[in-house]
Amino acid sequence: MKDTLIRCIKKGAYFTIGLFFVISCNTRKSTTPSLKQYYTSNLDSLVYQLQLLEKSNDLTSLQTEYLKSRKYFKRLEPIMQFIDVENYETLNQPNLLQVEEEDQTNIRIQEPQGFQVIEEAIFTPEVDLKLLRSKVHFIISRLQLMQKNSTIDRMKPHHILLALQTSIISVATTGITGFDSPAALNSLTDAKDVYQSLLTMLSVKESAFMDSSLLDEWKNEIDATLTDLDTDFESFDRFHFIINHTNKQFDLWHRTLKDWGVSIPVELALKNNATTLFSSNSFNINHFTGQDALESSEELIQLGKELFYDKNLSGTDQMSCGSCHLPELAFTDGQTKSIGLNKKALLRNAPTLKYAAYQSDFFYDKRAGNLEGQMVSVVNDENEFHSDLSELSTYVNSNSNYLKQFQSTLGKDTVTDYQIRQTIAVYIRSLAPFSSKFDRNIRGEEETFTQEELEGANLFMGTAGCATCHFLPFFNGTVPPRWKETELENLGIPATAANKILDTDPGRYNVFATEERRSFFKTPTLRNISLTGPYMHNGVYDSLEQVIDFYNVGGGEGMGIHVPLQTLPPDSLQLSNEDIKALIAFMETLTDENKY
Amino acid sequence: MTLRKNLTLLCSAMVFAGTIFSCEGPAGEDGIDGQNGIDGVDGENGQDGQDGADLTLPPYTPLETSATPANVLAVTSDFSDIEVEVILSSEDVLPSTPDFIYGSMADGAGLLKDTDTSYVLINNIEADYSIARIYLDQNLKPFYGEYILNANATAFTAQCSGSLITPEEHGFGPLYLSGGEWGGASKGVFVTSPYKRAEDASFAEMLPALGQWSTENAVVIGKNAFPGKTVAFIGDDHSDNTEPSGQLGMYVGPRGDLNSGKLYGLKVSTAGVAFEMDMEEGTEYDAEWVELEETQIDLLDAEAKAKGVIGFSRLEDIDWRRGSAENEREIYFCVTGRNRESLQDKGSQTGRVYKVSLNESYPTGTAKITCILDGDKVGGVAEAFHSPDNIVATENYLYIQEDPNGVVNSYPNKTAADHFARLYQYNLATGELKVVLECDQTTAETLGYGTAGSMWEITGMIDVTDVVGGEESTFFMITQNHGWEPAEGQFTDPKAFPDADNSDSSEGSILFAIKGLAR
Repeated sequence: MKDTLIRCIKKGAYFTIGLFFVISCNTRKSTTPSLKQYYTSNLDSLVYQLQLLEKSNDLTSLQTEYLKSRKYFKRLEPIMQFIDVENYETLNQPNLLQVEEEDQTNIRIQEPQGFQVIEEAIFTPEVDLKLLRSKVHFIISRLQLMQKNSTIDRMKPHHILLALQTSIISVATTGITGFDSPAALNSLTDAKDVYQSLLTMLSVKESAFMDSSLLDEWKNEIDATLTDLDTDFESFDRFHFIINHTNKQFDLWHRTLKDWGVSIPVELALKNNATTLFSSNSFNINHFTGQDALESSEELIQLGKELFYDKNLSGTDQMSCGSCHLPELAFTDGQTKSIGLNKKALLRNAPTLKYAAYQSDFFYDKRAGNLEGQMVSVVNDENEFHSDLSELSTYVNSNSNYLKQFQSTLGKDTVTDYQIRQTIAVYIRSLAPFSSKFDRNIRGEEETFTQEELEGANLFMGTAGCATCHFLPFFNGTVPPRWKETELENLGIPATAANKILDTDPGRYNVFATEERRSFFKTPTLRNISLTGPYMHNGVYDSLEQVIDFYNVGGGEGMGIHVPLQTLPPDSLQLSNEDIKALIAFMETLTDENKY
Repeated sequence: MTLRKNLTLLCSAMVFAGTIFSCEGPAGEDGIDGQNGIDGVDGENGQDGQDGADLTLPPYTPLETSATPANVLAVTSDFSDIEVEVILSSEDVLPSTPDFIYGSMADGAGLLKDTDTSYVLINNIEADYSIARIYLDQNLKPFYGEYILNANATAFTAQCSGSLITPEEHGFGPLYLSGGEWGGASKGVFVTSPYKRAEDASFAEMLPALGQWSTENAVVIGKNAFPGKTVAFIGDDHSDNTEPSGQLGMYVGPRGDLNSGKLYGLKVSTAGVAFEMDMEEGTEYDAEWVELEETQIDLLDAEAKAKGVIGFSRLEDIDWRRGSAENEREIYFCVTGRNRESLQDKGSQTGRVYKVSLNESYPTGTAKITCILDGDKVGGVAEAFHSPDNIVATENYLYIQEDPNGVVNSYPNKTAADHFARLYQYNLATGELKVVLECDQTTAETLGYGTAGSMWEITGMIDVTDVVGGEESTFFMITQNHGWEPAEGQFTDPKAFPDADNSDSSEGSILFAIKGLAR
């Protein structure tokens, strides 16, 4: 019986690989390997390495085989992250319980899987071999499915260019920050493997270059990138890496697009003509808002702004959006928790509206899917507008000033409450100037960072781990390079600054009563942070020093508070006083020049 | 033919060498590529082999009666003449394959005639990320169960709805299509031969030409609809809190070809319809099919949206009407709905059923779309809808099955939906909607089947009358019994999900036969 089984499996393997060979025979005239050959052979090697890892017993060989596997994974990344992005993300998910809350009755909870999971299982003194092997087995079976069903044949030149761009962004915003190599801190080696692959991808497409010197420029640039990456995780200068390399590669990418004569028929989160990550002009706002968002114009922004500050929009004529979102405080209110009608404290701290556009969900518990939906809750809340949508539209439709403006902007004689909300949303989405000292420096327009600010920037994007949750360029929880999801985290925020007990606000738990989501809150933006205190969803901390101290000891759990499913590692970040000062100095560069 | 044989032979030899290397060799540096060799001369064809002996099967013992009672369903008085019987449930032990477990959250299914005295049922086991094959005797008693696609093969991707392609109905096949939607993130359409060997359960095949969607289902319509063509519809269960994003995809290729055709998305061309909620119940709207060139999940979605393809709040199951070529060009699908303030007036909240009438001359021609049942319409025919999810179309009726998503709690005006999962019958001629049956979870709880607080889903319904024959109609229907777990062990078969003790779900399933429903 056993023999038969083995024979069957072998037969299966002959057949599969036989097919592959037939295909590769057809391309024998080409001298360089095709993209498909490159991808397939690395995928084969990755599976083979993982099989060796599966058989390893001692810590040294586990770690060695893991790092070898990882090399192939990272080589594959630029293509896999494009053609098979959902599988790629499965294989590269963080080592945290996966909770998918589809609907009230449809909550799916799964144990995490993938490379980060096995990395944390291997880079630890006590290895649970049985668990590790089941995790490795999952990866192998996923890769085998991908091997058998790869869509690499469907990659057209514009796909290759999109994959290239995605990879460049990915390295800059998550790769070099340690985001996906939390235990081995293999991030710089990873980045080198990715860039080697990008070089291969470009070389494979050599014939597509009209101007061969452009390919040479790429080669030189990638060489220089590899040289700069050849250092250790702690001392790597991430800030200048982005200025010197990421920016330069954006430029080369545009020239290549032109040189190849390729146009990209669709637009994802990043506009196809984006020349930098650090500009509101670079992002396709419809990606974040949906297709029917009103097109922004100066006139419409002004109209939205007028509505934003109009207290008559509320039921009692006492409150406008601007009551809790003050422009001089980057559209927060300086309160621990906002004060609603009848001087009643609301549930949470008012978040900044700056860069609010660039999120998948709204409110700290992500209960609303867009700004227009978020406003419905504010209008209905009896401690906020204490009104309803029909009153809102009745008021606006009876105001000749508004009607005149709606006539000239939208061509409407009367407006629906939805159009009113859309107009306010246009104003809020305009609050993203990218005009901070940080932006001007990272775009290379000026070089005014002090040594301390630079050190802070590199701590932020490096060993302090800040940028693994507050992602560039928005410094919020919206994960690049797809920018599809804004993350929730459980930090174990205490109830008071005495740091003794967990805050009672259950956060995301309130939405679907999912126990595994208790104390989870959305990651807010850190842009304009020096204006937006007090900090955290409950305003528990008055100063940034307190905030960094909280992280530096490992959050609530690190402070000795019991926090089930805390997502922040409970270990110390080992930041010195100088480090903390540098981080604060850096965060102060995130304040927009034109405040409102 | 000869050439292929020769190449395969050559390749086998080459790869054999490679296999030895990769088994024993260290992971060395990449060598320099060798030159390609010259093709060998084709070999002679071999002689035909001798005929094998006839297959003789051991006598199998069927499961006479399921341990699970049928009264966990409550049939309404309008349908008192139908017969409901449990064929198989997760707690049953098949005498001939006692290790087989009818696993967690059974879903899409298809039935084929196997021999003169037996049938074969292909059944998705959603939460064990696998596909089961169950043999039934002439009295529809199960006698043999096995898994033909396991969780390793699907790489832990949930298999949701499924549909069978048969020579009788579709002009090619048999093949079984299933949608990979959640869990494993291997999103797309899986294709499986119903006769796949159980030993090969670890190898899965997907259909990249049908695109990377959050695929609930892929359904090929009848062979008479468009002679010479394969026309498949893809239900995109994409959930989105900003705008409804579940699209209706269509694949058109030559008959029997699921690889070289083109992909399209449905766009409503009547002015003023930007969102599904711009369509009112009972009004027919003009629609067209726009070609989609991208298949990668993000690009496909972006391209579809940019080209005006309409989005629904989670497009679920799809079926096509039986009875004539014209009927076969009528498509019906469920939208389960999503209750979010940000989706108000854009997407359905409590569920809808749509009809799409395809062009009579060619599949990509102009079409018509009608919302025939709108659960959000207060006082409307379908006011009681609580997330319609699965659908069967016969010649004269639709059978609509619910997967309640909890709208009652979050949508206070929806008291009409305050009930357990229901099966509805919709009369295509009169528009009358009747409740056939409802999960009776109050009774079920007293019998030890889950709790009334954890609502079940009705799913996987298929009309098997033409397969099993007989005077009266026969349908199969499945319940996913959320909250029903075994006192000991797991409702997960280790052959489906290797580490069954640690499977992600252990909630049982029940497969019913229903006789006497009108077609």
